[in-house]
Amino acid sequence: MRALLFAGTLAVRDLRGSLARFRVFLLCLGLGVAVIAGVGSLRSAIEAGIRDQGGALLGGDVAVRSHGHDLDQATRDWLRRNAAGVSAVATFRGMAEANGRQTLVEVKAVDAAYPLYGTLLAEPSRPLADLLAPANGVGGAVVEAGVFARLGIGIGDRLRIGDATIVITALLKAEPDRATNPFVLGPRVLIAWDTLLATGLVQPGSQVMFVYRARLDDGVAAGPWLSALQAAFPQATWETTQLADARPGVQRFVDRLGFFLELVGLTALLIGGIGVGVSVSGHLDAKLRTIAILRSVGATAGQVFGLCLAQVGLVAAVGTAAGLIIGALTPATVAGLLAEAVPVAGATLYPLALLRAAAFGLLTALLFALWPLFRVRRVPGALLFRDLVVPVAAAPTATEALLLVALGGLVAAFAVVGAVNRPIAIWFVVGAAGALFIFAGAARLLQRAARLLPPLPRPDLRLGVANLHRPGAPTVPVLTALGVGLTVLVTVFQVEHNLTRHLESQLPTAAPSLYVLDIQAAQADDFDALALTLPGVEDLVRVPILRGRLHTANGVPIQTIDASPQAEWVKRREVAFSYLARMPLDAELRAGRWWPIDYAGPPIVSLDARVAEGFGIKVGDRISLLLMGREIAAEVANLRRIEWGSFGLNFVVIFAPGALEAAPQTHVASLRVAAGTEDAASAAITAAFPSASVIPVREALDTVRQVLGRVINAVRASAAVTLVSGLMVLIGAVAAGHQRRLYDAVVLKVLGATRGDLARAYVVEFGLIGSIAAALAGVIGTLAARGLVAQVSGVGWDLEPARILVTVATAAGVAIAAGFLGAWRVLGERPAAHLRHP
Amino acid sequence: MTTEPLVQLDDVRLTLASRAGPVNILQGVTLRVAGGESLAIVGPSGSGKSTLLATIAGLERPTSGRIRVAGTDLAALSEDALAIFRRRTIGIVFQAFHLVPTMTAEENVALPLEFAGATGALAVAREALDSVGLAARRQHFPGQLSGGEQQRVAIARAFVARPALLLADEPTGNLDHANGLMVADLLFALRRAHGTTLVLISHNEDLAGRCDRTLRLDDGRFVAAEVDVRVFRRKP
Repeated sequence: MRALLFAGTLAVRDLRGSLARFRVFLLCLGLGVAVIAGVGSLRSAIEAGIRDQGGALLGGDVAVRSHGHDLDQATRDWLRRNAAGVSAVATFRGMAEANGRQTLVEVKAVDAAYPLYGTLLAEPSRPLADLLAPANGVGGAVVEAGVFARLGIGIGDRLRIGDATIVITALLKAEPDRATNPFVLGPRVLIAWDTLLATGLVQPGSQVMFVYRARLDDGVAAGPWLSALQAAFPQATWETTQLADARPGVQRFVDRLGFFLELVGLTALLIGGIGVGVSVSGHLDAKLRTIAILRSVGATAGQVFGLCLAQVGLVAAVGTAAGLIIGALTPATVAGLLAEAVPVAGATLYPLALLRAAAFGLLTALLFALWPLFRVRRVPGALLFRDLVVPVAAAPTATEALLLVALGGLVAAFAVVGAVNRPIAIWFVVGAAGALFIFAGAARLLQRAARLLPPLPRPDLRLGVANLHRPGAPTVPVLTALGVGLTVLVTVFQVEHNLTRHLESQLPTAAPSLYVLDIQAAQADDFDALALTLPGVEDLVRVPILRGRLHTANGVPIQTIDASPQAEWVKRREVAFSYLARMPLDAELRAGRWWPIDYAGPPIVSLDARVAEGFGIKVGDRISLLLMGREIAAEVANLRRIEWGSFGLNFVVIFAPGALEAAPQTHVASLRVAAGTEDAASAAITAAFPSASVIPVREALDTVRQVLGRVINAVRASAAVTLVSGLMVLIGAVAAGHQRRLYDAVVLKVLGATRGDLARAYVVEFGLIGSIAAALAGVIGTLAARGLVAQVSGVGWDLEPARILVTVATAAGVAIAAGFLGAWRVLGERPAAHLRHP
Repeated sequence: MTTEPLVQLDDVRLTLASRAGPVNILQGVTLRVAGGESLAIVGPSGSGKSTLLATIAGLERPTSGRIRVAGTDLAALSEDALAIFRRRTIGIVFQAFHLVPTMTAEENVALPLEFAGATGALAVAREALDSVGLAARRQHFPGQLSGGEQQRVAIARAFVARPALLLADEPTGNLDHANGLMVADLLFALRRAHGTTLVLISHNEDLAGRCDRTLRLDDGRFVAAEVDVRVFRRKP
């Protein structure tokens, strides 16, 4: 204990005055820890937010949803009998029209009990019932600002949705149960339940979602309550949700994004670790004489090692603490920015997230500091008596190496164990270790090549090359840190390029211009007749659409089958299905055969291959679906692989003709029209079929792009952090070598070197490091991106050499500039002061 | 007809700022050194000798006064112009050798020629190393040479571009007696051979005594216009 105290006291005493050498250590470590702590805290805050506001988000303790049709009276009665409160909500996408303009809106009809949880904010602030109540036979609507912008109207003006005329009474500011789905296609229009009926848009099979939320009596658990509901209505097709499993899509999305951001944070920390190593090395180099003095006055190797370890530990603690503070403040800082999309809990500390970040920070610092620290054990006191400082052996002993490997394994295991997606985390660890190895190896090769190079004809070039391989040159850490940082940047840019390209590339040829939803079955032929005569129309596909639930496979209830993650969703949600004579163009047959056009036989179906595989369903198996309480059985005739990205109309389940023609249904259509005729076509369709909703694909894609854009920005920002870390290592290494560089510069100036001569030497030095790091990063980053794109999204791969080149060239340029800037002050130094007698 | 001296200082003053207030290092130094002459400057530590040498080399700019070297007013030159002027006109030998540690002996010697863009610099450097008896050590790095050898490399480097003026700051100060003697012999032999003007700073009486003339600097000013070499030699 006394020895520890002594080491600590000595460490603090000795640290005074040398803190500046640890700037890069502090920055690198702090930044990495801040990213990990920030991402972790934010994820926890969103989780807590969803938990806290779950009631409001879900709209009740439990929710019962039904697509296309309202719950029957018996179910509604059961709900009202068994719950403390029930509120009904219906949502659909529809066309709002005013001033001769139309726009797609997200309509939500609510009953008088709405909202069960949370508060709705409107301006002017009046009771919702008053705002929505009909006046002179015209229902009221509370709308989002987007409606004003798109239709050029304001409060007090009227708009039409379907058959109903509605007057806008207020601006919607906040909606407690706003769907946490970020893919919202239009602004919200909130109306009363009665007004919904007046629109005439609720027809059998129309794309309306009816949701009944119930508030349970105190002490009643949601699970048994829902079981009782299901037992009462075993044939029902509705789906239920309770708070416990109300992990909305956005939460899953945040989990995944958070996972990738954490990987980026870990990379930043990895690079930070290299910065830690550089700082510790620099510190120890400067302390060699002090260490030798300590050894000569009787300190053991272990005591000196303990002293240096204590110093590193102190600095690491300060850096980690700084990172934790920034990370802890992150949720509160970004809560405002995210408020629209997700609920973020208020200013709370998330100890687990912070602990995890702290552990990562301290372990990484220790791992990277130990390598140079072990050298301390080999500093002899005799060093003082030598004229020349002989480099102290750098290679660790077998025990030391074993300890380093074990520590590295611990960090890796820690990264994998807490990960949302372990396979990718393992790949990350392997990839990161591989990248470190490759970049460090390349740096050593560069040093060897520089050493073996015949003397260059010019002293500036020679100096630049010599700077790469002279003893103590930071070529290895700098090239490695820069390389890893650049690799992340290239990876992110290539993944981003491939995802956006995938979206874009579908558009010009294959994608339709408009989707039309809710075409009534009876109007189908009229719709075709109109659509085909529209000016500019190039292609029309119209298909019937029904909704139901997959019920059994070979007699086994779907709910009891252990499905693959890709198919799991089918258990929770209704699926859209259709009946068609011909196979959709955007699908590829994987098993079985498509039926003849004139098929007339017992019901057979075509299944999405992914879903079928997920449930272990094969061609020839029997499945059944529940359609409005009726069970329909069919034999699986074939499996299709669907290209969902093509934006064509496609379905998980397609029946052969003959089984569903009489069932309640609507039709959906996709139209491709000549560029510039979308608005006219949309107007003509809405005028003739007021119940139909027209979705311009461009607008829908813009929404997707906006969401994607935000995600990309978040990822880009964190990728930039890794590059910043790499640059900090570079600047730190340049700063650590400042004295040596200064000495060279002064002597060379005395001998007649101009600042230009010196500058050229630096360009050679940093240029070689920067361009080799960039070139390798281009290759490794591209390979990593390729793997990620294949693994995560399954979209095709496209190499974009121009962008890679621009990315790496720019980054290499920045690296050269950063190194150059670090060395710049050397150029301006006046030699005389440094030449005085020692 | 009078010939302009190679080195001409008129009332040169240099004041540096320090935490304790301004320090007057040179307090009105006036000096003439004729071409081909050798001059020793002696004086106690801190008297400003090295600073005076640095101002003559254009490494330090005086606060006031005028310095002309080989007919060039140093005040008129930018830093880079001073560097170019130095590589053409001045060679410097330091007490601490100041070789570039990452370059071989041969490369160190070639540097002034290479900066001047001369062709065949390495060949000339080899000859220069030969002339100081280090032909066998030309591929060695400074760290692999003894102090005496390093100073001989530094002398070869100082002479390699045939400068009109050689400035030597305690050239034997870091060496033992035998090595010091060898370096001094070399220095004066080369100076004679090339007809180089020499300004030398030394505490070593013997070394100073080998110069044509000796001046004594004390507290930033010459205390006697001329110190007779013989008088200086008589001092303890």
